[in-house]
Amino acid sequence: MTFRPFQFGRLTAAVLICAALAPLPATAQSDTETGTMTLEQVEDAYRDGDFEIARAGLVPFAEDGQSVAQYRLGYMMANAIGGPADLAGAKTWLEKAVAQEHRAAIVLLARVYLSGNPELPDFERAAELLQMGVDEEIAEAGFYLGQLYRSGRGVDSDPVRGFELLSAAARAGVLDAQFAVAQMYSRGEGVEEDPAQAARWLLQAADAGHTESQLSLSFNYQRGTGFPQDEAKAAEWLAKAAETGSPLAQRILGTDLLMAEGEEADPVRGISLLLQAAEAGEPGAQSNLGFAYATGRGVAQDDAKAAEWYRKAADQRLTRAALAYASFLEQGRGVEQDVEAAVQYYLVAYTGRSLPASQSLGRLLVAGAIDEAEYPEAGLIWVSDAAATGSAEARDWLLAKAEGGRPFAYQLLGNLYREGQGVEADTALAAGYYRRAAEAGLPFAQLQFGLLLAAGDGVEQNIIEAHKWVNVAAANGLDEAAERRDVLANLMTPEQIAEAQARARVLIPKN
Amino acid sequence: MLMSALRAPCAALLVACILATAASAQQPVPLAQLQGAAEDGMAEAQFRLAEALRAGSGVPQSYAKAARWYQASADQGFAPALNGLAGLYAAGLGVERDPALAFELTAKAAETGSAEFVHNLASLHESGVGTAQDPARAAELYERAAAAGYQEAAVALGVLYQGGIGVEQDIQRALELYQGPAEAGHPRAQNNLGLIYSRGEGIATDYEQAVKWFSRAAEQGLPTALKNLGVMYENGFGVELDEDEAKRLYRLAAQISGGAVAADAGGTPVLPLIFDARLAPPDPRRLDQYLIAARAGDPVAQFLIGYLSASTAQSAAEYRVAAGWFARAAESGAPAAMANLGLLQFEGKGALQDFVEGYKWLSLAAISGLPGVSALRDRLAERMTPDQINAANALAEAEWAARRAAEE
Repeated sequence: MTFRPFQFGRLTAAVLICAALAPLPATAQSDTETGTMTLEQVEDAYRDGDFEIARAGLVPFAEDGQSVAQYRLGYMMANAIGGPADLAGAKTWLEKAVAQEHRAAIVLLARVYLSGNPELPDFERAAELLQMGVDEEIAEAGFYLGQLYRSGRGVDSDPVRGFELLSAAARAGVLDAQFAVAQMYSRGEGVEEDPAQAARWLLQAADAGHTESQLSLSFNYQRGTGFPQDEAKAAEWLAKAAETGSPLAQRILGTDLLMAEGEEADPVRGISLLLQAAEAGEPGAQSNLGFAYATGRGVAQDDAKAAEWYRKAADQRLTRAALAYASFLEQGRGVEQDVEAAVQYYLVAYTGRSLPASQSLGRLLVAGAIDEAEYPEAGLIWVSDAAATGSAEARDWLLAKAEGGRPFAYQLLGNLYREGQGVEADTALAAGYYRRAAEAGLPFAQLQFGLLLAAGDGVEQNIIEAHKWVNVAAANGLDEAAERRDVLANLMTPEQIAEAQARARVLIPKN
Repeated sequence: MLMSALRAPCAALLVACILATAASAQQPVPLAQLQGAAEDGMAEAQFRLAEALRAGSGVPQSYAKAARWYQASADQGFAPALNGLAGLYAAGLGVERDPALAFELTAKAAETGSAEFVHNLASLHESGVGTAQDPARAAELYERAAAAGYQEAAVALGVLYQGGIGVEQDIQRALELYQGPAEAGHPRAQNNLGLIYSRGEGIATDYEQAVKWFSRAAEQGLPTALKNLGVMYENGFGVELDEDEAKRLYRLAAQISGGAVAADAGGTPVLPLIFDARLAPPDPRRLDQYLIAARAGDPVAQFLIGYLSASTAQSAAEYRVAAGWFARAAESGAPAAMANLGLLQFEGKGALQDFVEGYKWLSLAAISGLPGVSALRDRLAERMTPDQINAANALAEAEWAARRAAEE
């Protein structure tokens, strides 16, 4: 029987990630009869999986003031068993159970407060309860309280106290605490840094099946951090973390098995692992599964499935998936063609600094599929990136923009011709374009034109004009230009510098 | 390689020496009185008025006007005025550069026997300004000035003996000549003494002594001494070998000689911002208050924000903010703000690098007599041509006149 985890907020997601709830505790049979069901019948219903009946049946007993029933009802409400999650209701019942000194309710109630639900933002109360739990020697309470001391929520931040609590919980066998203690030893947080202790605790938790520790151990063996570098052990622990349900481990291992060549390849297991991680919502796995379907690697080629998995990852803003899905949308591959939607996904990928996305956007812009007026600055950069792939249309478009009064387009053309991106490098042309952008006041172009003048590259060497432009670029806020100017000055006579400054003066308004 | 013995750079030396005298001659007589007496034809008053105009203290600096009053005084045979006028002709400040005339005037001033003027004449012989280069004659004249107790002359003569220029090389003699000025804190004498000890020419090599003298000169920010001290650290001569320290010293030397940068107590290069000592030190925690006052037009608050920004600035954008506040405070006439605006323009930090504009603002700031400003201006001016300085003089005078007119 598995329970749905709480909806954890920012703080507790990390803390509680592996804290599985204990199954409903069996308690002494009771003959008490209230309402229509006996407590025994309620327990039978629970055991049979009739959770709705069990949840309803508990209410009269809880209202009657029985702490066991209050605890159980709170538990089912918190975990959305037998009905929707109801944290406020859970809080009410668990508070009553705690008031009657029901030991098991203490940590559960604290976790309800820590759930990140905006209606229950009571870290102080959580800390109070957890302290109560620690006093009652509940090891798990020490783990949660220790994490609060680390983060300074509900209590004043105190890493030393946090470490004390966590190491006590770790010694009592709380795996999450062991992982946390390993972390603290390796960072020297709340305790003297001690790699040996960090390693010991991490190994212990990993050996006991703690997924996060297993994954961390795998990374440590991979990188040789805290452990000797050991590919075999890294692989071994990665496999274990995948088995114990780490979506990240499943994605990494699944991808490796799918993409490997020769004996190490195991596409069937690779796909199966990727599927597990993808269904758990891991965006990288979703994207890689999309790739598998798109290319027919390890699965029968299926554009529709590829598009669907890419979409899921793209909606989580994974750059490579957004790029792939955008291109599927643009081509109508596995999904109905929709250029407008494609543009939106290209934009997601562009935000993630994808150059191909920028090039595609540029191509679509030149083709008129994007309204340039909506993207007056970025649009020029996209088209320039498209031009760098060799598109003459994109280059012509830029030149037309430049001549139509967009000096930034001159600067971009200057870059293309100087670097020879998508065109034959031509510093004379580059210098000409930079000069126009420089004259229009663009600092980067001023610096570039100045440097070409200083080197006599594509333009007749002229150190005075070079100093003038580089000085102006520096005055326009380009840090690199100030350094270049001072280097140039070392090669010049005071008379040359004076002349350069006099020429620069007319280009820059006074302070 | 250790640098060769340091001699003063010729034309710049002459100007610097003369400026130093001008700075020390603080005249208690109010300028208006001086002006009256000068116009009445009193040679000394004419000379002192010229000095005030040249320093730009109490009046806008004007080399051109200084030259005219020096001339009036020199026409009456007043030797200090001959010497001062010679300096302007040698450098081309306020007058057309004329080395021959500079030499003639200096020779006439030296006829009075003044050690300082004799030294100046010697330096013209040494470097061949307005006359044929003649180190032997220079040595004779330096000897005479040094015997009269003029320290600069002793150091200059030491350089000639150390290098065997115009005289028979005599390291022991050079050492003796440097000793007194070095102990009195003369940085070039200290550096050159360090060189003698490190090379062991004519005497036993003594790296500890060399390090001691290089260090003392380096503490005063002399770039050559910083480099020489760096060599000692790089090789572990007389100190524990320390390549990082050597690199730091080389870098500092380069920064100091390449710009306005000075070194702070910890040896870190800093921009020598001017602070007005009459103000309470700026408190970064009160920045919000300063901002409110500054936006309302309070020049003191504007200056303080500019100062705080410029002190911590790393990027051009941050310097621009500082320059903007200094400019606003400068418009209200705050001298320290004017000085720092000029400094930022000089260094091209947050503003177009423009020596003329920078010099103009530093000159306007210097009129108020704010300590450190005219020294900073004159140090920065070493990078300028005489034409730039003269143009800056004219701009500052015009700006000053416009402000006076606006006040009346």
